[in-house]
Amino acid sequence: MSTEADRTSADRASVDRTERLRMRRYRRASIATVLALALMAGVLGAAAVLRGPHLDSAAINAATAIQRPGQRLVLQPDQPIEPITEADVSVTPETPFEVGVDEAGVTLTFTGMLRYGTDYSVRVSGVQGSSTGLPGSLSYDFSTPDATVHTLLRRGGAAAGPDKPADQVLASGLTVSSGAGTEVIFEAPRIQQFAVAGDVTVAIVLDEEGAGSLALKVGDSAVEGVHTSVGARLQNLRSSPSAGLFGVSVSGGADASGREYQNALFVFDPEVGSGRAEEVLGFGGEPLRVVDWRFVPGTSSIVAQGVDQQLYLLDPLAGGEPAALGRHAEIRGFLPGGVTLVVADPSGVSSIDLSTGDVAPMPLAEATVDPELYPGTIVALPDGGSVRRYDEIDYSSAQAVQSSVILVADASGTRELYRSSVPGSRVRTFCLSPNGQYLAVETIASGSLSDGYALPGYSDMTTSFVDLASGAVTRSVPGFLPDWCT
Amino acid sequence: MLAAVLLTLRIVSSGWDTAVIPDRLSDFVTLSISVVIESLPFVFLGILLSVVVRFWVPDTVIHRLLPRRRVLRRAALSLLGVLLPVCECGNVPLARGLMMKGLSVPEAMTFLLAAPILNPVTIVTTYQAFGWDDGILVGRIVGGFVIANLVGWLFSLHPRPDDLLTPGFSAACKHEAAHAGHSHAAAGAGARRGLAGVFSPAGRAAQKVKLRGAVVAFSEETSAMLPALVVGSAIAGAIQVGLSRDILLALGSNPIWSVLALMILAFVIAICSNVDAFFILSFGGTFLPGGIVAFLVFGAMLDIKMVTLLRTTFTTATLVRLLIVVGLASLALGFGVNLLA
Repeated sequence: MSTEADRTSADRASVDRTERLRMRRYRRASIATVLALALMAGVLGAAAVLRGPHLDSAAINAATAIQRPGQRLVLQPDQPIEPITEADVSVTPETPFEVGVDEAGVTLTFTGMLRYGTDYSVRVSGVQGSSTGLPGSLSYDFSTPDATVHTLLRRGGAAAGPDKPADQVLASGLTVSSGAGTEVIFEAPRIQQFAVAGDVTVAIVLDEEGAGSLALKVGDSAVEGVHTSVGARLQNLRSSPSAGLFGVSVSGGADASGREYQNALFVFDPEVGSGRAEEVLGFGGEPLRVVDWRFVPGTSSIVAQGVDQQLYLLDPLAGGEPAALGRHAEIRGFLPGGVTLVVADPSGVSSIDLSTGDVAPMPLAEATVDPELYPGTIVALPDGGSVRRYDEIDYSSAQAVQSSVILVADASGTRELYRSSVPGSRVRTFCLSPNGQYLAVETIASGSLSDGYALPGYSDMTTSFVDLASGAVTRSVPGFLPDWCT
Repeated sequence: MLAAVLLTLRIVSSGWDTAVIPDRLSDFVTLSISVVIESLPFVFLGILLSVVVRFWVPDTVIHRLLPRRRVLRRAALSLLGVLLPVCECGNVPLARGLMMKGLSVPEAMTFLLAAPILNPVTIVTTYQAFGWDDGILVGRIVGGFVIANLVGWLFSLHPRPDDLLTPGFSAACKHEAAHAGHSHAAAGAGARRGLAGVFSPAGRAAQKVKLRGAVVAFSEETSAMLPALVVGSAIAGAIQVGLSRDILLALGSNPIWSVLALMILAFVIAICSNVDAFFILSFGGTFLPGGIVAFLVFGAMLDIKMVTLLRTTFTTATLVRLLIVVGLASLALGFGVNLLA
């Protein structure tokens, strides 16, 4: 009996001892866990505090930055920082910018437009935390998208019979690697001219007799007609991609009162349900007769040149009276990235800043060339330089062979930018990309024949994209009339 | 009620000029309502799921699926929130029920801390609010899992786990265990009846009772959740409007204060884990990600409301220990995220 009691007592003592040991282990583990967590929090906290500023987030609209200047890159550091200067910031490839520091972070404002399809690298060194005083740096890499250029591929002559293959509007990237080649976005038996805004393509299409009408296609939907005056001649089709507007000049046909259209300008918005093009009117609601016109880049406004050479600035959406910009012989186009219009007169070239109305002479650098070269199309550059086509005719053989060269003239002198590589091929015309980075050069192959359209083209035409800085041809695509040039 | 007042005020005030309604009041109402509107669908989804699980998923399913090894069992329990996606306040009665059905205290504790975070509703709302930005979602999921299992492991070392419970609840558990045999026998009989039992008059009556109970539970959960949501939204709006942006920026951009301030905020406002991501989203641009993660982890595990609810089950000493461990772990997690993000 006593033995059993002793055993029970011993068992209980053993259980108590085990429990005490486990309790001690639990307490030790608790203390160790708390100490370990406290130590970890202390070390991590100290490391976080003693770390200098670094990039928390960054924001830029790269698609807009290739279309217009003044776009911003905001770098948000993970802690407030002391002001920095432009000397602390580097951007590769080199591009002009202004820098500011505020509550939102470091803001880089790109004063020009960025290059298409380019990898940019931004480094801000010498950054100092305003609360910690610790040094750090901010780094951010981003890429700009490639541009899409549309060209018109005419196949067979205008007079070809029913077996004539359809003409096509093609969309192509600037480099082969950036896109999957070339895509057909619009087809019709005879396309005289086209314009694109977003996913809307509008074309002047011709019937077998050569009469023109407007056809519209939105995305992948079916082609629809745009109501225009019967029997009218349509030309100078252009678009404003930012406003989604299209415009075309009309001659022939008459309005409801029987008034005949003579170089009348019509605009239309595909989004508007009526599907009708509206006539643009001049002073006092009188018809405006235009010999040339352009959409002002990035707006719905129009610059139109009347038959008396007077230039007008008007907005068909806002309405109101046009603003007269003075008489000039020729509209040369807009300088890349802004609303500065280049006009030419017998006395020289001038620029008109449409935001202020200021007119200033624009002396262009002249290329030093062989006097036997024939000067052709000239395009002004924002820095006062110029790009010009020169034709060369070789009479040494029985049949004269024409070729072309494009030269850049600027403060540093004259340099050759592009030369037709195949003997006998020549440049029809060229224009600058909207960001001023590339030239789109229309080339006519040797032995090409005119296609017989009212706006003539040639068989086997190609458009090449030439980097203005290096002269490198990034790509050549079929077709002509690239939308940069219209 | 408060939501209705805020909404009415917003509708009525939309036509007033600033002379009638000050900008700050207008901002407060707009900010508060935006949080409510963003959160509401997810709150109802959470409540609906919790009611379905509570009334139509048999308890035996859970027990049968759990592994036998204690570490794996706790790990599995911390993922049980995937099946029982209820908010932390709904988890307390659920955990009490699980303990009464034989789950150990550390296991119930692991479930209690992990389930509000590791459940589909919380994960989806956190993803909706932050996506994959700054490792906030990953920090919340991994941090919640690790901290819950750390606490479970620590309390599993206690030689007498029942001592962690209040005497009253401990006695109730023992009483339930003593009557478990009877319950199992009844459950076995029910199982034997099978589908025939469900479609019998008695079975149909039981289903009706269950459905009625589910409706009542849904309404109770809704009544419990919505006031918390509206009050939390109002506090969020008031803080954003009332506190100057400079103070918020100074706190939020400091790697230490961003974590401490948001942990205190999480503890005080006691907002449901199903909607807290939307609440804190408005602070996302001001506070460092570590503070956001600490808010989302600490607040989902412990807050004033939870501590009050837990006091019905656990001793004060247990809760103090729990608070210290979870608090320090959340602090370390927040600091770590601030360092790495």
